[in-house]
Amino acid sequence: MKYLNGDSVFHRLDARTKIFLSLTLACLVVVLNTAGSLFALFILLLGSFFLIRPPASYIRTMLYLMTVALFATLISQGLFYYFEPRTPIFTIIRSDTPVIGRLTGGVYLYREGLFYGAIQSMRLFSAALLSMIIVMTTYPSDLILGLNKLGIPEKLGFMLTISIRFLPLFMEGTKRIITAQKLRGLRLKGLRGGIKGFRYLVVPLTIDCLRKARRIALAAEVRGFTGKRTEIKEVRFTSLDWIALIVMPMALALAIWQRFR
Amino acid sequence: MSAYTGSMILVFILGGIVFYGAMKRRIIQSFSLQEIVTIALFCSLLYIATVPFKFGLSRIPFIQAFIFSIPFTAVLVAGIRLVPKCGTATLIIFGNSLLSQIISRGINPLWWPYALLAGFVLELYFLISRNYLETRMNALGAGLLRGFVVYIYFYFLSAPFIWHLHYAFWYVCIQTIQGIAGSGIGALIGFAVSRPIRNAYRHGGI
Repeated sequence: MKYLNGDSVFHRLDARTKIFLSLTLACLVVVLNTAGSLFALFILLLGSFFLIRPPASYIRTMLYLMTVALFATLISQGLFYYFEPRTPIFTIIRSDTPVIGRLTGGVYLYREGLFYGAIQSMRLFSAALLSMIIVMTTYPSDLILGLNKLGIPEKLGFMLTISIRFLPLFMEGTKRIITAQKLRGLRLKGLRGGIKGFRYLVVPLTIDCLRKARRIALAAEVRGFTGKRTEIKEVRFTSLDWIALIVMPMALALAIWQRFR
Repeated sequence: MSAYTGSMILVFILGGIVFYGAMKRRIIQSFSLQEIVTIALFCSLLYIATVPFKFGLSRIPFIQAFIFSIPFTAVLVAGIRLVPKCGTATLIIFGNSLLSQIISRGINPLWWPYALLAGFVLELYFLISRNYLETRMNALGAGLLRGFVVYIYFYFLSAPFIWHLHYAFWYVCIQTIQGIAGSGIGALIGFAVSRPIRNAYRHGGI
């Protein structure tokens, strides 16, 4: 999943506002505790997701992630639910089973646990949707710039920029090295072949990338790089950002008030 | 909620202790550009090593802790052995966390203490052992410690307070033991893999 060109409300927001938005929504995901409020947040984010007009492949990815999250949460909370009352609907290990039964106290699938898991998976859905919205509407470099403006050290920002730069280099290097190893007779079939291939891949790949890293460092050093950089892109809050910055803390305050009143 | 807030404060106190200890021992050195770029390289290598887990592998119950911790710790150990300085572990782990948030998960500062804790614990270990993964035993110790702290923190604090997900005590024990074992194995693999890389890095092979 990567940046999508567009002119949605989210595209127009400043990266710093999006970071605040992420923080606020992350807090909301933690603070909200009723099924209704979690569902409302999920619907709000789902609407926002479709506002960006994602392509079908992105929607499929979202559905896949949500199904996996729902399935895992239902199973884990169905099995490990410890609030009372709880009604076992299926027995996996009886409590009187020797050793395992005693150690675990019995493993049952609880009906209330399944409901609880379904409600809690809304949190995971909301977090997944938010992350997709941010990723689809913001360039990674803008996010790094936003983090820098919010006080993250410049050298850390530089490190993150370089890290992103390395990702395609790794992919490219992996393909090249695997092809070279195959030409030398390496067979990658089966688990053994896979492990062998990994062994022969990781060292040359890392050394190759370290060579590139040295070149990047040298290039930065000869240009007198000290960590401070000037930006081509100027970041500025618009009225849309100010509205978001006022509304978000209010929504969070309301949620906190509702939870602890 | 208060337990999680308390744990966040403890993480920052731990960071303070590490910083104070490093200052006392006078081992705080600034990073050269070459080292920063090398750390950046290991941040992205960590990201790539854990990519398969972002597509569902991390949801496999019972074995995910073991599978996940092997490549993660192996890459981490190799990275620390290449730049054996105070702060490298924290920078690699926190940098990787920020990188994956920027690229795929969206910025979420609530997960930062988790990454910082994983880094600070290793820094404290290096500070006490006065050894930056120079021996296999030291690497094994670092791996085991990482596995223990990270999985205990995740299952007892992060999961219940961020996702409101609860796990049975026996399950947490199983996951933690697997995490410890996986991290230990990963550390040994990382130690072995880093040998030729380190030789090339130090003796002009690169």
